[in-house]
Amino acid sequence: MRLLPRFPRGRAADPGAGWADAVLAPLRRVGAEVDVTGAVMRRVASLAAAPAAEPPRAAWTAAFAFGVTSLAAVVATLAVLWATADEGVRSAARAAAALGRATVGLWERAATVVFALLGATRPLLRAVWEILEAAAPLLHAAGTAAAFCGILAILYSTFVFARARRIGPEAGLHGGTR
Amino acid sequence: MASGPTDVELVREVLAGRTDRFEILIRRYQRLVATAALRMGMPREEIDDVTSEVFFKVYRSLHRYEPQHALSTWLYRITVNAALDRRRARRREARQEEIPVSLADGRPFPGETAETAERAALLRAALERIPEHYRTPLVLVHVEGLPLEEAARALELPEGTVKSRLFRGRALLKSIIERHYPGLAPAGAGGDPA
Repeated sequence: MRLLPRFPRGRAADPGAGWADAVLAPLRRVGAEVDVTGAVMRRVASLAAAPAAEPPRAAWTAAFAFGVTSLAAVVATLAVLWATADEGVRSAARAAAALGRATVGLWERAATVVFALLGATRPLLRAVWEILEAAAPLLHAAGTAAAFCGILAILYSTFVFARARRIGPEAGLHGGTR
Repeated sequence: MASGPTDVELVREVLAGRTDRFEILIRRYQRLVATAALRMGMPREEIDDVTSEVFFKVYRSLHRYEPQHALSTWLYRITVNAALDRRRARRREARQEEIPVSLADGRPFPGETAETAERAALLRAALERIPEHYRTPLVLVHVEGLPLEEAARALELPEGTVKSRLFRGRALLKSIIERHYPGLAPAGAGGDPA
């Protein structure tokens, strides 16, 4: 995949702002006359008058009530367990609470580190990208030169092997050389 | 400039609930948006739709407008994005239906001479051959006449990036014109490297 498009070489260097202004002048004379006021205002009005998506109130209220009831039941159960339980249950509860606190703390630290890293590397990434963009012609030229050198290397090794086969000793039928 | 409420005042009024005031903003800027969309290569039959879409988006995100910058810059940004979205959608459709994506259209607008229309159509075709990220800065700076700073803001890019894209965009345009549209080269313009 080519990240940067092919850059014109040789005589096609930047012709300058004046050239671009002159060549693009006909486009500056192109204009479009439209009147979208009515259409847009109708859409705006329909947006304002649109009945706000009516929440299914009965279902929502029932779900909320059910959720609150469930939560209350869980809390009550835990409270009863806590009040009547032996030391084992209390230890388990304390361990669960500690684990929860540790998890939250860990997430906070991880988020801090990630945000700090992002903040620190963003300008760097942007600078690298700008350098890559600016160096695109050089990279292109270097790639072409590397490909050319590769072809030369292949041709040279072909020549060396062909010559070696021609002047080198041949292997005999029984393993010796002639 | 005609006296009347400023853009910022109008935006505040609309945000305060006077939606009818948005009409003034549309009337004030619809030509700018439509012309920019056309110059960015949108086919003229889609200009009305794109312009409507841009203003509708503007209305819906008016609370995000930063009054310290010109409203027109923000409109350019939304127009550029709308044009890109349309282009992508059309490209997908073209792939599915095997129809050409070319946007060049030589029909003159009212008040436009046939020659200007033809040259403009050829220019649009030449610009079509340039990758999007080089073409848009070219259009904003050399056709719309935006200063580099505003173009950078409209494109949400650093000024240095826009500058390097302009260099490369101009070089690409020159090479395309020399190769495919030699008639478009300005007479006697040998180039004045900036």
